[in-house]
Amino acid sequence: MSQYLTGLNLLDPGVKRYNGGTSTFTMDNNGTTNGTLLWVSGVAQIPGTDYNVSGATITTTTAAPAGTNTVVSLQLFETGIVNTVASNAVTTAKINDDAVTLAKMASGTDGNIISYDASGNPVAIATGTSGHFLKSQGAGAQPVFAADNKGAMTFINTTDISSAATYAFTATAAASYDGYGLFLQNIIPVTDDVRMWFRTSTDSGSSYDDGASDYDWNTHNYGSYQNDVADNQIELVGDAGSSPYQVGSDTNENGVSGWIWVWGPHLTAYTMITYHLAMRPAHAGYPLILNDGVGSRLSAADVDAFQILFSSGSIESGTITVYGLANA
Amino acid sequence: MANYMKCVDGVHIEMSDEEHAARVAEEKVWSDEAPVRSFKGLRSERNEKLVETDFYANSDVTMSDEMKAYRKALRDLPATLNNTTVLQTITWPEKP
Repeated sequence: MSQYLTGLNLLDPGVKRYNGGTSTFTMDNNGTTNGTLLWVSGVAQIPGTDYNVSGATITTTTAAPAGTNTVVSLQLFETGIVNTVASNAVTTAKINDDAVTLAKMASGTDGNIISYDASGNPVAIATGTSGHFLKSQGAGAQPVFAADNKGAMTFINTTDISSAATYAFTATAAASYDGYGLFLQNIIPVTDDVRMWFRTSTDSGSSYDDGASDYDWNTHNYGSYQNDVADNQIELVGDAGSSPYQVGSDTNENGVSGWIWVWGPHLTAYTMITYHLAMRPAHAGYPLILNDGVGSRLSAADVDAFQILFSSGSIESGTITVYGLANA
Repeated sequence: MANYMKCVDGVHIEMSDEEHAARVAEEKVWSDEAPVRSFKGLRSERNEKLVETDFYANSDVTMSDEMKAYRKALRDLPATLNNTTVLQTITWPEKP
C-alpha cells in the first residue's frame, strides 16, 4: 500500500450564492467537480458537463444569466488529499490474518529457513550440508543443520562394479566420520586363482601406497593363519596355503563377501583395518574359507582413500556398500 | 587397446597410461612369482598336516608303518612338483 485518500473534511456551511453574468465563480474552499453541486436559476447542473471545479474555482460551460444570486453552489467536502503511508506506520492490526503471502516476503537464500534470534527478530538459518537435518540447540539458541546421527552408522554410497581393475573409495570426510565399514557382496575376479588386496592413499586417491614395507597383516582361516610383517598391501583373502585356496572366478564360486572396517583413518597414526570375509576356493573339493584378519599401515598418515583390487585381473562384478561411523 | 578401467566412488573411468602401466607391471610380477608363492603355501599347508600327526612320534606312542609312509609322503610332496604342477590342484597323501 503506497497511497490512500484522506482529508475529506465536511464543510459547514458549504452553500454559497453568486451573481450571474459570468462563467467563473469562486468558492470559499478548494473542491472537486463531483464533490460540488451547482444550480443556475434553480436548475441543477451536471458536473463535468455543465461545469468543472479546479481548486476553489467553478467554471461553467456557458455564462450564467445575469442577476443577483442566480447561481448557488453546494460544496460538501474539501478536496481529498492524496498522501503516502509513513515509513514503519502499518501496524499488525491493519493487516488481515492470512493476508501476507509468500510472494510478499523479502527474497532470501535458497535452502535457508527462518528462525528467531535472541531479540525475537527473524533470522535466516544457513543451509546445511547435504544429508544433514535441522537440529534443535535447546531454548535460547537458533537451530542448526547438522548430522543427526552421532555415533551411528550412516550410509555413504553403494557401487556396482563391472569390469574394473580397481575399486576406490575416496569420499572420506573426517568432519563427519570416525571410521568406515565396507560391505562386499560377491566380488568376483575375472582371473582365476587370485588374492584380494587392500591399500590406502594419503592424497585422496591420486596414488595408493604399495611399497614393499608399507603394510603388515595377519589373517586366520580354516584353522590356520598367514601373515606378513612387511608387504605391498594388506592381503584380505586368498593367502590361505596353496593355490587352490585363492579366489576363483568359475561359475558358482561367487567371489568374496563380507565386511572390512577401517578405523580412524583420519588420525595421523598407523591406520588399521579389520576384516571378516568369506569365499569359496578356486578349486573344487576345498572347503569354504572365512578370513578373519587385521591389517595396518606401517607409517603414520592421514589416510583419505582406500582401494580394493585383486592380485591380477579385474573385478568382474560385485557390489560394495560403504557406511560411515558418524563422529561421536 | 584401451587401458584398464577403475571404479572410483561408483564411477567407472579409464586408467591413465601411467596407472595402466603400473597395473600391468604389478600383474606380471604376480604371475612370475606364482610358483614361488604356491610352493610357500604348499609347504605351509604341508607343515600343518605334519603337525596334526606329530604326536605319533612321541616316545610312548608306536607309529605305524602307514603313518610313517604318510608323513614321508608329506615331506617329499614339494619335491614331486614343478613350477607348473604346483599351480594345479594338489593331490595330498591320504591320511591313514
